[in-house]
Amino acid sequence: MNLLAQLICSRVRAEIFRVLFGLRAGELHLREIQRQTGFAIGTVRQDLGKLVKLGIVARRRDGNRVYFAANQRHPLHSEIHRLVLKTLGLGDVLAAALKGEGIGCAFVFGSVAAGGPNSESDVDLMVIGNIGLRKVCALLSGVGDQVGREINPVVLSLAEFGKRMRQRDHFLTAVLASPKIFLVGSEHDLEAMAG
Amino acid sequence: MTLKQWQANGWLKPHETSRKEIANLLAIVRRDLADARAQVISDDWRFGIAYNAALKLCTALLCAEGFRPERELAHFRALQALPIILGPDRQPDADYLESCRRKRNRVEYESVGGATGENADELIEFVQSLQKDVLNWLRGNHPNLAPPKDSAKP
Repeated sequence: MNLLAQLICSRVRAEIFRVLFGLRAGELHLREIQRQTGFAIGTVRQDLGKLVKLGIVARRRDGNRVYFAANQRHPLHSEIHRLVLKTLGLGDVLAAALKGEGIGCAFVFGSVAAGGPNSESDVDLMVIGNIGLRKVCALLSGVGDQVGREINPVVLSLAEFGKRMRQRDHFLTAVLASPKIFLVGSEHDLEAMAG
Repeated sequence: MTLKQWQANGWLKPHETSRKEIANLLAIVRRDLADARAQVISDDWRFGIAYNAALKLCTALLCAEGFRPERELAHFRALQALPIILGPDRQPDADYLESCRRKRNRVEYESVGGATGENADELIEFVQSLQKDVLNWLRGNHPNLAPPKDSAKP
C-alpha cells in the first residue's frame, strides 16, 4: 500500500486523488476514472459519491455521461493537490518538466522508486539523451520545491550510456537492476537503447 | 534578500579581504581548471575538482563584498550568493551549481560513477565562462582587489 493510501486508509480514495488531483488532472468521466484507477466501477462510483457530498470533487452531467473533477474552490484543494504531488503525483510533475526536450528515456530510481519513501528521501533521477546536466537542472528549476524533495539528476548521453553498458559499469548496472518509475520512455525503450 | 540580511540570519560573517586573498582564490581556480581537464583521473574526481573551482569563484565574490559564509551550509550559501552579487539572472547558474554540489558530495562520499566525463567537461566550460565574468566584475566593482590584467589570464 502506498504512502497516501496508508495515510487516508483507502486505496480507491488514494487512486481517485491521484487521478483527479495530480498535475495532469482535468475533468474525467466515470469510465475513464475507473480505467485509470483500475478499481471496479461500483467501487469508484461509491467513493466519488462521498467526495462529491463533501464538496471536494465536482460532478457534471452531459447527456448520458457524468464527469468528475477536483473542486478547485474547495479550501482543501491545494492541500490535497500538494499531498498527491508529494506522494503519488511526483512522477507527473517530473514528466511534465522533462517533456519534449530530446530526452530518450528518464526514470526515477533509488529509494523513492522502490516504494519506501520517507520525508528525507531525495529523488534520484536518471536522464538519458542528448541533453546536458545544466539544461536538465534548468528544466527541473522549482520542481524540488514543488514536491518538497531534492532532486538529484544523473544525466547520460546516448554515447555515454552505450559505453557504460559495454563496460558493465557498476553504477549503471545497479541502477538498471533497481525498481524504476518511468517518466519518459519505457522499460522497452531502455532495453532497446541498451541493445 | 541581501547579503546584509543573510548576515542578520547568521548565514554570513563579516570578512575583510585583501588583493592577496583574492589572487590566491583565483590561482586555485586556474589550478583546478587545469587539473579537472586531466584524463588520467576518474570522471568523478574531474567533476569534483571543477566544482571546487566554481566554489572558489563564488567565495571570491563573497569575500570581495566583505563576507564569508558561516560553517554550516557554507558551500550552499556561497553558491546561492551568486545571483545576489552578480544579478538575479544568475539564479539558474546557482541552481546548476547546487545540483553539482549535491552530485559532488555523492561521488566523493557515497558512491562511485555518478559523474560522467561529459558532466565534467560541461562544468569546466561553465567555470571558464564564470571566471571571466568574475574578473570583469572585480575590475568594475572592486578595482583595488582585482588582479592586474596580465597576471590573471583565465
